[in-house]
Amino acid sequence: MYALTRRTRSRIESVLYALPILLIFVFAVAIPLVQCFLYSLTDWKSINLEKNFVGLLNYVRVFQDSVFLKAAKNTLIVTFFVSFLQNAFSLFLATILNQKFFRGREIARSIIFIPTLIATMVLGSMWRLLLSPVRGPFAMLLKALEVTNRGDFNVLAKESTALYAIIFIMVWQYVGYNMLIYTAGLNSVPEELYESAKIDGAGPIAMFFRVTLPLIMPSITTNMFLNVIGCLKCFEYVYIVTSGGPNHATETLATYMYNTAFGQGQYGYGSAISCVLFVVVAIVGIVQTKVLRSREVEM
Amino acid sequence: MKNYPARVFCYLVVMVAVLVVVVPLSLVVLMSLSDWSAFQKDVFSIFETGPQWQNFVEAWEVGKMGLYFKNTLIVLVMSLLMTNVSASLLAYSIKKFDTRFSNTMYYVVLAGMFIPVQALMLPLYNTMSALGLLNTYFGLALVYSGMGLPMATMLYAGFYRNLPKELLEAAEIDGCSSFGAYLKVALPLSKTIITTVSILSGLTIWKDFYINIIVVSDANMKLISTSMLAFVSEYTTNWSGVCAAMVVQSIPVIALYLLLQKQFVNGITAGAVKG
Amino acid sequence: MKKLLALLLALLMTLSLVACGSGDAPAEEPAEEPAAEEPAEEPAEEPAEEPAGEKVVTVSCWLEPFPEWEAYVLEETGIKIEYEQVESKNYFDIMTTRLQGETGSDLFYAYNADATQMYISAGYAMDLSDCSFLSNVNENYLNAAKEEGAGKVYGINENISYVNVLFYNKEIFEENNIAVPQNMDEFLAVCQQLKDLGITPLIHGNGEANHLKRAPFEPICIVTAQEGGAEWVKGLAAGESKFTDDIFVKAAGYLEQIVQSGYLSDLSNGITHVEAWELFTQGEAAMMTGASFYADQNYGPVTPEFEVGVVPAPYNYEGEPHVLAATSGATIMVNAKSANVEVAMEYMDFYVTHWQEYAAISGRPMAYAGEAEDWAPYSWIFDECGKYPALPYVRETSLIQKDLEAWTQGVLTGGSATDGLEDLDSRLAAAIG
Repeated sequence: MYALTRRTRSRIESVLYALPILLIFVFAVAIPLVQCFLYSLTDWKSINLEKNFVGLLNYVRVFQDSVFLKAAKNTLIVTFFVSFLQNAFSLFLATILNQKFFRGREIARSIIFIPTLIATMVLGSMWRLLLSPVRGPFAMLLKALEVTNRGDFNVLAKESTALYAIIFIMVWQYVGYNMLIYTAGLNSVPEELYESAKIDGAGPIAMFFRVTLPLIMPSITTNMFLNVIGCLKCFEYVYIVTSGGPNHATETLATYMYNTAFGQGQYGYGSAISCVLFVVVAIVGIVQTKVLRSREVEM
Repeated sequence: MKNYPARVFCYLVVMVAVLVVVVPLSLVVLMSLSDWSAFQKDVFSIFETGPQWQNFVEAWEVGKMGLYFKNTLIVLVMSLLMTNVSASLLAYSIKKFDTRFSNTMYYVVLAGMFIPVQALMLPLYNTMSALGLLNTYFGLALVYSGMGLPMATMLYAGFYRNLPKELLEAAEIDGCSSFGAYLKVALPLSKTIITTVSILSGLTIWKDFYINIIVVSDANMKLISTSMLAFVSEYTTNWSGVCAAMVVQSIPVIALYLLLQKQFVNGITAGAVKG
Repeated sequence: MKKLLALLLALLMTLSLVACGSGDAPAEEPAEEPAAEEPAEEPAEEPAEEPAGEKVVTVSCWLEPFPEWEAYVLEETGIKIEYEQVESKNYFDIMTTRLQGETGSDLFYAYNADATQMYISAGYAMDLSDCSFLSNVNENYLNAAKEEGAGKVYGINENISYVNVLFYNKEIFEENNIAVPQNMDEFLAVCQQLKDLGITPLIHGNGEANHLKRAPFEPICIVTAQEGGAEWVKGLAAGESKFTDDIFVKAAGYLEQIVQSGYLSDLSNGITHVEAWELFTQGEAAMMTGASFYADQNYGPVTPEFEVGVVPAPYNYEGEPHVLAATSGATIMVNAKSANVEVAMEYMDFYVTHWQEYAAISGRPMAYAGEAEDWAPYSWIFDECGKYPALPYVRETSLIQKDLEAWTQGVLTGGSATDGLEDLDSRLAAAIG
């Protein structure tokens, strides 16, 4: 054993150390992923057991699919709005709560954070109930007030408002999470910098943009990264609250994949959609990390 | 900031935010404590009928929550063990040996972060079925581990990267093997990371729904998140029971958070600030 | 060397967790049984049976479980039922996934007529043609699960509460002297009459995608009611029929007309069928279309003050016979690939021959060979509707089910019916491949 060179020993040992993770990764991630790709090369549908090899036909179909494009558009809208709103609100709140004069900041932070801890299924059902045109408290209020066109307030059932209702729900849950990260980021800015900026005559707005913002770039990077990846893959909320309806108004890439593969039994085509989604998320993730990291260093 | 109007504005903003969070949640709590048919007629019926604690008892029994809590805990422990052990071993070996193999492994595992889990549901189902792991604690734990590995590996690798090499070398000089150094030096130092990873992965497992539905068909093996299904069938008319189930399901995590607030906060922000 | 051993130990630990994990599941079940009660009740023979090996059968469905029935079965046959309830929204997805992975439950249900044919052609269902228990099944309900053209029975449509009917508020109709519609055009006229009187004509639960096929005058139902319609629907999956064919376009026009004339209550979008039924019984609208199971006792009894009238939904055009259409749901099948087939068949035999007892315990109207009076609490529906000639089952097209639902939703929220049809055609063509 000791006759081997140090380098070879290192190599062997590193393989051994990686064995547990390799096992888990291979069985829980790699094999399913490869299988997914292989399915995407077939025309496998649930109506029969055949799996005929069709090459990249499914992928061609994906890009000509109008519903896929609509789902892609919806996903982009969700990602953009959620990332922007979530970050804006959470940064705003974090900054306010960090001010020296603010009393009761711990309680406020905890309360705002609590939705993050609750299961998506629970919150999705909750919002569905609250926004229900029949059972929701708001609807009951409308009924008591004898409003005649109660149907107009049905945000989840109208194509124009459904997606924004979903955006609201998502932001509602995760503002606390982002806020936590921003709070840590804000706390890491040294006091002296603010002092010297004050001496230079900077007002609060200028201080924010010149001092705070550049120094919390790492937090912004992290938050944006998590938000964007999370939104691109977003599935559970949409599925529980609206199932992608009405008429694909809230269809996201992940729900479309699920509905196609499982709801319509088009396993081959559905797998192709998954692979496309995976590649998209990967590209966005990698690009985003590189771009934001380099800007971080600059600042 | 001595500017009083601005201060008032700040307090107002925060109050609005807090209300926006609290009102929906308290509505759910209100519904869980009300008698559903009375609630439909009068939203504040609870003041007449008094809190309906039996909703909770019913939720616990009909939803088989005791059983599901137990299942969830078992799966949690197994999965967290697997995730922490495997991620830390890999991260350690990256630090110590820095071979091409371990570095490649690192990036490969990290790429798993980009996979939407639903994409894998069908092949995962078939793989687990072939391995005979459906409806088992280990199968579920394996899947959850796979989901949690990217984040865990990233955190461990980041942490170990910042460890001074001298510490590990000192242990070796004292006669430990590299694995001994891992056990005696690296692992004890990683307490914060262990907490972080456990909290993050634990939250994901606690909140998960779709993996559970697909991998588990045996009603006795389901996890806490699916206990709600017993109520949320389309034939439901008793939403109070649903709300009670929601509340019972959420309380443990919230309680844990309130008790271990510091660890939670540190866990979630670890690595986020320094990148 | 030491580190190598240590790592091997770690591996062994992980492997032992595997063994432990797989062993856990079966160990769980006995712990859950409220074992205390049974031995006290059972006669002396029971303890002798159990050591021989428990007979267990797994069943999955979207309906609620009936513990009373499960106890009855255990007492009479010694078979233990393990029931799994899967939400009906996910039922087809999950069941199909499990079946293609060969791990479905011993007894399962085909969610609709298309699923039935699909499962048959994929070989998931056992051939039941030669079973003696079929004699206890009402003949009309055996047709649902016969392989098309071959005549073998692969499953039984067990529940008769899936006929498509039109519920109407008797009080409103009598007060205003409105005649019950017997065809589509009369139906539209009645809607207009009601609207002129200031009464909301229709309500429906449009919020649930899997109930959209019961939307008022969903085109596929209208098409099926016509002569040659059923063949057209079958032709969809074969690529012979197109949504742009006249037969479908005309039917789609009716749906559009209903929505655009404002006959549908604006609350309909986004509510479930349970909520719609509640609203209907509260007088929100004068009529409601849907499946007969909407009047299920489980949703709340139809109060004596509220008189509900029922006729088969008039999908027919003027001059055509008014027929009773049923969407085949709840077709029970036995898993041909199950490891437990003998016990499953034994249970199936007991189950079907004891449908009368099951109906009494569960309150579900089972399709046993008997008279309409036996079908309480649905006898009031079948008294009315039983006299109409019955249609072949309305068959859905599972390949583009979601697309059809989306299109229907689009029309229901005010969109044009004809716009999306070409798109549907190309999607169907792409799906068939």
